[in-house]
Amino acid sequence: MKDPVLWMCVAFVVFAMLRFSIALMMFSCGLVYLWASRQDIGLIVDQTLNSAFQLNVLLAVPMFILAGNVMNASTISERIWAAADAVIGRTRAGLGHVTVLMNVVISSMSGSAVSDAAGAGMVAIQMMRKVGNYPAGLAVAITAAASCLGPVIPPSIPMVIYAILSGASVGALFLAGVIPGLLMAVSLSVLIAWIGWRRNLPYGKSVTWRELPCVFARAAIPMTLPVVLLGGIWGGVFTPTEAAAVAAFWALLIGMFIYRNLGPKTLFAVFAVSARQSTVVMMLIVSSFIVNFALEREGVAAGLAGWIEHLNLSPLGFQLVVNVAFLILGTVLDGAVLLLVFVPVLLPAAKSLGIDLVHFGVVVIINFMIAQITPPYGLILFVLSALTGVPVREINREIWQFCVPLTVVLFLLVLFPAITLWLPWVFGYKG
Amino acid sequence: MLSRLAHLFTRTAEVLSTLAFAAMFVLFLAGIFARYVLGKPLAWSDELIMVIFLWVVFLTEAFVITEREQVTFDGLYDLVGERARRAIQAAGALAIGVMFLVALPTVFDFVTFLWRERTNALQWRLDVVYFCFVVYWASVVVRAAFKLVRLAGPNWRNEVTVASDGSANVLG
Repeated sequence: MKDPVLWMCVAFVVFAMLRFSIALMMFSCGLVYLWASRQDIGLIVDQTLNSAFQLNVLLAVPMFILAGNVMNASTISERIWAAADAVIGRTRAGLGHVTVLMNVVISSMSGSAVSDAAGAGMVAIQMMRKVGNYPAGLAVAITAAASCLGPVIPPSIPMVIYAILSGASVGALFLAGVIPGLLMAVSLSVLIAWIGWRRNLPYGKSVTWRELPCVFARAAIPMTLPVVLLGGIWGGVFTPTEAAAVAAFWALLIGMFIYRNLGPKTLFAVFAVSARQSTVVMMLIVSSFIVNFALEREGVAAGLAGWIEHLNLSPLGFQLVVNVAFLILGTVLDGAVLLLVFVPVLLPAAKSLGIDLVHFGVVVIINFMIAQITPPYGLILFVLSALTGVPVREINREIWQFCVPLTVVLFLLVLFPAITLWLPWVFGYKG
Repeated sequence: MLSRLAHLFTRTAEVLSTLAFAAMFVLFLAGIFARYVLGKPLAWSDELIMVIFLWVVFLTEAFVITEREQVTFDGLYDLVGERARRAIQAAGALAIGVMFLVALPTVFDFVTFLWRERTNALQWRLDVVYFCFVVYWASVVVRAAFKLVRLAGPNWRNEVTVASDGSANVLG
């Protein structure tokens, strides 16, 4: 490894221990690299601003964030919960299944697991605790695991970012996420059924036939949201960025004029929190540009690709190694670093091995989601612990078992790329 | 008095960032309306949205986002006692402050040197458009300095007991 890169890696470890925030850490690593390689510090400005300025797709991120927050503020989650409850609530461990089903639906409107966990997830936890009397750790663990569907089932913020990094099509990635997301949901439900049987979780209440139309009607309007959002993108009407803005507008109309629960005060809060969240996410993205620049200029990715070629690794072998490595790294590293720094380094190797980049992206994003819920470092666990007051230790005791079915699905997808790519193929994606 | 002024400043910054974000959204809708309904796309709307967005991001980061909203690696930090935490925080703030301060003049020069270049559609001067980055960069230095002062003061324990809150990181 060349010296400036080595310096950057050392800096990364030292700064992490000094508790730099990730954005500051990436800028600082960039500075260390530029100093070590005697290049112009101004390159930081050039890489950060010029790159961002030309990436219009980036604007999809704040719009997806806004759409998600509008949805959380109006009572859409409660309505979808009620409809999901009517469908599947009567079974053993019914509320656990309802949580999964609700997340499938919410995932088709929002692009972030953290936002799903903090919004709709809180409704689920409350119901599981109060109505079902589930142990606190289990209720939070089910919610955390189910929220992983958020960025896999379209729309998806990490998929937009991956599309920028890899050049893969956002539309194809969104299509490719559908079946894997549903598989993840089924795998979680199987586990919940087993836990329910073993630990004797209660049956949910059943909804009578007469109530059903009313419950479904209440959830029908929000269900138009994914139709507008995804239909617009796949039908070629909107770019992903425009679709995200239109979806946010649509959710706003529903909240303001149909449900009438978005007053000026709530509206202001929705925009305020969206601005904050967009800032935090964008800082992670733009600060990673300088690190990626360094890794590219020093030929790290190309070197890695050459080395992998030299190893004679098959495409499958490469993907297995990458995914095992990511699962291990994901327990301690933040998912953002995996996606923004490690993935770009691996992309040239994946390309030269002839791996389909859409397939690779979906698999990597599922891996990234598993990283968000694996202890000791799992962002979603921390967020939910902070919001519910349930200690992380208690959540950790329950969450590990949910990582198992998700990991099984992950490796199924690695072994059979057709599961991911079938839907894009049907819609004419040539990969 | 000083803390009330600081609070007022942060609150104003937050309101401005919220309004700018809302403006961005409205411009977005206007752009879509012009393109699909009127059939006359606005050439400048995408660029203006991007300019506003860059300003929102860097200035919100500089003046609104609190330290506990930032994503950090807390593996080592969580294991040690208060005094060690204070040392870690102080060393971190010092390192950031010094590095960003040393780089500040170059960052300033680089941005101001762009005065001859203009954006494609609006023809705005690039040094003006990018100046938000200089403000952000300087704010990092100032915030690090304030943090060192707080850590050296009698209330340093408040600094090391705040738990972080990752809910703003909706990247995944």
